[in-house]
Amino acid sequence: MKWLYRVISLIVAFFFLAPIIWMLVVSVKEEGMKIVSLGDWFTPPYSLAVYDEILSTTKLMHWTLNSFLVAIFVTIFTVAIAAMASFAISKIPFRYRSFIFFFVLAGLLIPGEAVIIPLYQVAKDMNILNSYQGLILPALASPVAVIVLKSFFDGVPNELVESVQIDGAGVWRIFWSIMLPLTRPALASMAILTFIGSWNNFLWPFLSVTDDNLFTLPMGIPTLMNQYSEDYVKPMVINTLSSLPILLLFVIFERQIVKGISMTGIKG
Amino acid sequence: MRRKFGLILVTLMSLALVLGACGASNTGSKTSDGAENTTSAPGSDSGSGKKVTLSFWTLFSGGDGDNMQAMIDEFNKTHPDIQVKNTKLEWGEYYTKLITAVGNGNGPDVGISHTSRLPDLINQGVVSELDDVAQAAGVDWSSYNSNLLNATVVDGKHYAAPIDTHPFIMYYNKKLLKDAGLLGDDGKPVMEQSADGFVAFLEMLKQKLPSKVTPFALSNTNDDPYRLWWALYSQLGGNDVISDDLKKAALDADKGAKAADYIQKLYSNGYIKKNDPDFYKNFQSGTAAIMMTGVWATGTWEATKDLEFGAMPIPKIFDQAATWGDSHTIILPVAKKEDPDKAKAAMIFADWLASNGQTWAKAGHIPSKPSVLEKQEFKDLPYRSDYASVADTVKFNKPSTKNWQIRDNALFKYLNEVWTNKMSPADAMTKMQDAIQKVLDE
Amino acid sequence: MRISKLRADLLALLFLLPFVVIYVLFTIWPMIKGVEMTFYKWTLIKKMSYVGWDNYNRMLHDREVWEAIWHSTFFVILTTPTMIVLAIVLALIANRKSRLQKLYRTVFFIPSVLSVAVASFLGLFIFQPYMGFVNTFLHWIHLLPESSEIFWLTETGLSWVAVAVITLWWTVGFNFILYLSAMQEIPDEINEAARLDGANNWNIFWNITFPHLSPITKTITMLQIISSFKVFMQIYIITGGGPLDKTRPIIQLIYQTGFRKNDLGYAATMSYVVFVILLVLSAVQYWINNRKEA
Repeated sequence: MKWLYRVISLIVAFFFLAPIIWMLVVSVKEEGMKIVSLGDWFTPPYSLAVYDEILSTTKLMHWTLNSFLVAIFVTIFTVAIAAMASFAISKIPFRYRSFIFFFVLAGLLIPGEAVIIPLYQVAKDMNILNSYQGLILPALASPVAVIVLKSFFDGVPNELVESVQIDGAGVWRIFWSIMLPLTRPALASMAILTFIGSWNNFLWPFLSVTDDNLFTLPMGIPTLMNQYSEDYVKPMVINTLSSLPILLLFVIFERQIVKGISMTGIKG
Repeated sequence: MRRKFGLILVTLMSLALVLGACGASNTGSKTSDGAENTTSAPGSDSGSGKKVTLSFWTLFSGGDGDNMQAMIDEFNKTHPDIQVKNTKLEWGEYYTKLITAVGNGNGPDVGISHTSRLPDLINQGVVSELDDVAQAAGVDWSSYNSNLLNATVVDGKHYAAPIDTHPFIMYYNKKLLKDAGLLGDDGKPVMEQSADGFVAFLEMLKQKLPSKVTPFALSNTNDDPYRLWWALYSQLGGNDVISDDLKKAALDADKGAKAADYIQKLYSNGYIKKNDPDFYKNFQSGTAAIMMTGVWATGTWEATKDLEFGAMPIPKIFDQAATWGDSHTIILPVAKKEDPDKAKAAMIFADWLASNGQTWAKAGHIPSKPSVLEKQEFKDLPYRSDYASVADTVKFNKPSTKNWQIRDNALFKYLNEVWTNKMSPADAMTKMQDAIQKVLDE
Repeated sequence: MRISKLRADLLALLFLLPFVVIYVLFTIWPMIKGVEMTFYKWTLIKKMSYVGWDNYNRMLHDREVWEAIWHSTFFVILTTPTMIVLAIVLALIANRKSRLQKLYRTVFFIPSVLSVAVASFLGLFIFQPYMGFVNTFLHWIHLLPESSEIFWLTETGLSWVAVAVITLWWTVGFNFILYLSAMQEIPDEINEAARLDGANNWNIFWNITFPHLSPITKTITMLQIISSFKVFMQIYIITGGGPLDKTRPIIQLIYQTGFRKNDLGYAATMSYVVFVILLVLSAVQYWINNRKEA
């Protein structure tokens, strides 16, 4: 029984890794090889010539950088403004508090895809199409982040907040040096999810950007995949190059990422 | 300290908002006029020292892309006062990007349009008229092939400068044809130009050559089989799929079905490899005896080591010689702010591309100026003369604004089903007729 | 927090301002603007003419729209149950104490960090005939005769399989982690106690683990339904919506109508159908969750 379990586990794991291994192996093959059977993919000659070519003749690295820049900006600002908003909703007893909360909650029901056409028109009217602002700004208001962070802020006892206040701390200090540190894991997990979401965002950049200096990876990659002459090596080199940075990040932050996902899952 | 940081955070964010809301008006176009020019006085000619930078959007890849880049480099070298910057866009998204970019004021200074797409672009207000600027740039319209040029004139106004014709032609692998005993002493295929003759030719190839060799390399979907269908449909006397007033679907169902049926049999008899994912490479690596595609492949085949190939018009399978073809033209997209200097420079560039068609012909295209055909450099290019005459038999689209939509949403869609034997040619024609009408009505 | 009313309002305003401004500008305002657009012929270049209810009428009779909505729905039906089963299976594998435990967790999650474009193109090439990984692999293990090929990408049924497999592979990681952490919350003592009472692995899974997973399953199901309904890029790259538009999801149709056919007004109208559908789905979710708690 035990060995069966083990074998099945290994087979499943193999199928999860196989595409990525195949991608890596194909990417170091020579262009124009004859492939008749599976083994041909895994035998020499190998060559890094295509890597050279792609790196020197395309903007792939530039787009990777764009993807990172956009994702980093989106992450920082999304989490920052969501934290501020959810702090207000959770801890400041202002008028219309419940109205604001429902106003944000309603946003959960509006999927980005459903407003993408009017959003295009709005961005056009604001003159931010085809710019970094246009890539970043529309992504910043995340009702999900507000709702999730609010539930974490709610978890901080009011007594604690009040006792700090008695010591003379201002609201900013409460937010900055009490609330944020206490909810750091939640903030981190929100940040990670936002980052991955932005990294994968396709539809909006695809519609809003026409200048190839502003492309992010998801929209840049298809432009490199020539519809004729579908050699396998080039596409796999492109895939590999654009995945390496994020894979590396993943390896470094795996623990935090895993923790982050499980946290939001429980609250969400 | 902490408090200060918080304030900075707020300030930063408000700043970002302000930036986003109103400061963005210029950033978008930074690449299109990122250079020092723009305020020079009109009429300033070459040598005035003012540099004009033109952004040029192209949809060329592969051999086409390389040759266009070579031409741009050459132009930039010979015209120190004009610098052209090439942005290659993906074919499939090119027009969408062009229209959206022009719509939001981020369009390029110079662009490419197929003649078949031009009416749509004119209708949408994407391209500007050229008559004034052509005069300023000293363009002699009479130096262009009048057929090609006429297709770019609407209501007596010029909208584009054609740089080529690119018909759908046939290529053959000389070595494989020789192995099958089908290569004549003149280096041309031994084939009877008729419906049965072409099939017999393919049958011979299939029998005589090893089973790994594909007799006829052709895509199984979309463009190339559609082009072949268009060629045969036209050979049968079909005259586009819409009426002369461009308002009604006018597919000749009998002719269309006959052409589709003929091609369907080429697939089902195994002359064409099923779902060949890479028919270009199939021919390029010498494992396919013949192939049909646009002339743009010539340059690619020439650059391939050990590929002995020939080029010829599509065989006359039915009544009259005819083939599919289109033409690349240079357009000046509408700009937010008109800049006569840029427009003039762009026009000079467009005319230069046409006048130096011998370089563009290296990619395989047939130049748009008769004078270029007489140039020794053009004559020295092999193959081109074998098919230059095809230009006269090209059956172009009628000037409808819906050409591409009809192609994408009516023709490709159902013809693809015919090729995979999932729909009978007659059924497909009925469906296509309806779909064409639907597109025209929208 | 103890604070004067006025000060509270001012502070709240300050804290809420950045979020609300962006939220209104890029979510609420487009939502309203979109309603206007549905009543116009509206191109990428400009607003054309008022057409009243034409776009809505046209949509009611447009088979393409309803087919596309069905395709998105079909994709939901295809991927939601499989996603949940797969995620649970993976979590069971990675939850077992073994030397490879950590490795499994990494391996199952890795595809999730790939860019959607990478995952899709990888899928495209993996399922290509003749040279693609799947077919060459099937040849290699002799499940598929040398001389035949499976055309994954050009047969409607098979292309659904290809798209679904790639989507599962690419996105199961998140759900897998959620299940894994839910499983790890179950104290070991409970399992051990059950084992002492003579329960086997199957009993334990069915009577202890599975019930414990049910709240998270509810969440995952709803999230999955909504995100599957919004599928676009994988299909756009892998099948292009073909053959014969039979795999084209509604989001792709909206894109094509708006940007390829240059008809933003009609595309906006379709968007509202998507909005209504998702609204209903969310309402159902809310209703189910609250009913159970009551």
